[in-house]
Amino acid sequence: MKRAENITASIFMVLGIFVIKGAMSLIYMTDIGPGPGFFPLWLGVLLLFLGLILILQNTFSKKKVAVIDSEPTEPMWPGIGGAIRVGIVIFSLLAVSFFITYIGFRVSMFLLVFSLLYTLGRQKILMTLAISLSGSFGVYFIFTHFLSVELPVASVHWLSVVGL
Amino acid sequence: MSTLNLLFHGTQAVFQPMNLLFLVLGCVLGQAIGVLPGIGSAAAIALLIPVTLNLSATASVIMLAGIFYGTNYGGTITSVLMNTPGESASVVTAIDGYQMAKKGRGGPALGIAAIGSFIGGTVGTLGLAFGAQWFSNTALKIGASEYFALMVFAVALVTVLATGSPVKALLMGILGLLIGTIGIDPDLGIPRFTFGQIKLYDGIAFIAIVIGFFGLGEILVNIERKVQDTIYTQVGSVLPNKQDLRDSAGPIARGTVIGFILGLIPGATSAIASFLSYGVEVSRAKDPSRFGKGAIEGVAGPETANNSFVNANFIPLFTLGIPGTASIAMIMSGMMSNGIVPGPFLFRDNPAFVWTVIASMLVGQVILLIFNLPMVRVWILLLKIPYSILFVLILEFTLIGAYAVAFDTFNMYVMTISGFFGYLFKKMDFPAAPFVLTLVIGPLMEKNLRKSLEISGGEFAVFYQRPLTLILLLGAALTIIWPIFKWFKIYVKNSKESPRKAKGASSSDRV
Repeated sequence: MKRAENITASIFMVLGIFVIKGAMSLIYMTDIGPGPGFFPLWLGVLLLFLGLILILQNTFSKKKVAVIDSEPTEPMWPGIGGAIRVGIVIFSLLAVSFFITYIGFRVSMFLLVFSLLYTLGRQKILMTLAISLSGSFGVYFIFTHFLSVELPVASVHWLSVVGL
Repeated sequence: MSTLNLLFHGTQAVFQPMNLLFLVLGCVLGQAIGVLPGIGSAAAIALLIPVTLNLSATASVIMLAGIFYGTNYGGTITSVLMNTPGESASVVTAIDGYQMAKKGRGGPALGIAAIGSFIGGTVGTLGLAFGAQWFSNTALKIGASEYFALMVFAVALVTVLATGSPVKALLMGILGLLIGTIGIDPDLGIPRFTFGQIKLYDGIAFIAIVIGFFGLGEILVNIERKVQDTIYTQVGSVLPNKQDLRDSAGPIARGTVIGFILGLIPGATSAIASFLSYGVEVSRAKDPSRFGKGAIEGVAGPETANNSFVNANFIPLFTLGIPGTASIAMIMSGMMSNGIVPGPFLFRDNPAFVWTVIASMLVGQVILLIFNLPMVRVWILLLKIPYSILFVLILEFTLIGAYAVAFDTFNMYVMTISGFFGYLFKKMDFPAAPFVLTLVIGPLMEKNLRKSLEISGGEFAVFYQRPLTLILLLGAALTIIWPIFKWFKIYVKNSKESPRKAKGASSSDRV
């Protein structure tokens, strides 16, 4: 836990330096008051300072953490199975975000719901199919007809000609 | 016009078909979200903001507010019947509520929770109706520097009251402020941190970030492991008996006051209100050993406190434009998306809107009382939906919600990446509430900081020459420094004790 926290604090510090550098390229003060660089510069300084404080806190509170760590606690990070499940979800969402403009909402959501229900949800095939159809075509119908929210349609020719 | 007259006109407007429809819809959604695991009120409100853009501002905010206070009612059901709180505010309810359910008294536990919630929610709303205008008039007298200082104070309170390390909370708060600076500078029109990407010129859509942080982040944590719970569906009669009502009267009254006062403080959470109420009841009890074994006072007090808290939470939002919790920050963004600016001018510029929303909260309490007394079994049916199906559908709605913010797939990427970071931060106990709050109020904070310095001609004296500004900034500084000082004191104490312990241990080893 402490190692992960120190890495995160270091990332915050690097981000702080990056923000300070970016803010310094902007105008700090104008004739009438603070410029666009004023606020981010101080935020960058605070990020750097607080990241350092977190690392110092972790370094100098060894004994206290050791006592807490000796108590049986739930592991912080998932096992290999959990990590795969998290990975599958993230990958699926990124894939849908990429393909939705090409294959449209209905096809991409059908594939998303079907694959996740079948692999992670472990539902029976008929149930999976029914939920996938209502979760894609049904949801599309509700959003476009009743809520006036336009959802993406397919841009690839062979799907757009069939009205998807 | 008197407050009662304004409230009466507001109530009439609530009963217009569209307003009433969206009020019922908000209460239904809030109740369902409270019952179902995997999505909280902040993510649900964020998901629905894009959908509300086609509605009137009044109907939209009525629905979003209904989701917010409805969630607290729904969360009680899983706490009492499954020992699994749907919301953090209901954690304490599970202690005695679940024990009551195990003894076959789940019905009265749910009944008294509904009655307490109704009383707490109604009194909280009446406090909002009668107190908000006074707050609002006072707030009208404050200038940009006071407003900036007030926001700094609010952020300080939010970070210190967040669970875990205040340093982590502050880091999250600064991160939120930083993301708020991305885009075109409002004064000079210069792009900031946009890396030449036109899509970033309008800034990053914070609704997409919140959907990811709270919605997707929560799902990722849940799908890591499989949880199996015992469900006690035998609730029996939900009506408490006379003795139950006698035992609960005091806790309900005290819970109402505790929740209302905490609701006014930015950063306090409904969980704090319910825990405090529980603590008060235990300390006042003649036989404290009854608590934890199914004492009805342990359900009545906390449930009342968290609902009174939720409704009082609207006071700082409506009068100062300061959101106290992540869900209220989402309602604020829902208001702004619909062209309504919360703050001191709200009561003056949009009286019809504000009084209709306040009146809708009173009507909403009645709707939720009906949902939770005669109709409670309907909601229990929802618990039968397996999470393995539910999480896939929630994932789909997170994508739709993110896309509908600006009808742009870019926000789907933003949501997914935010969700992954939300998951990582959650695993490492970095609190999300300070991040979301500063994300929403960040641009306002910067605007008021710059405005105060522009008015003073760049002189920082404006922050210590105006008494209220100085008091608020000093308050903020003390709020942040105090926990760090406390940590340092503990560290020094531990360092002094450990050599002595080590010495003692080595001498005993020798013996």
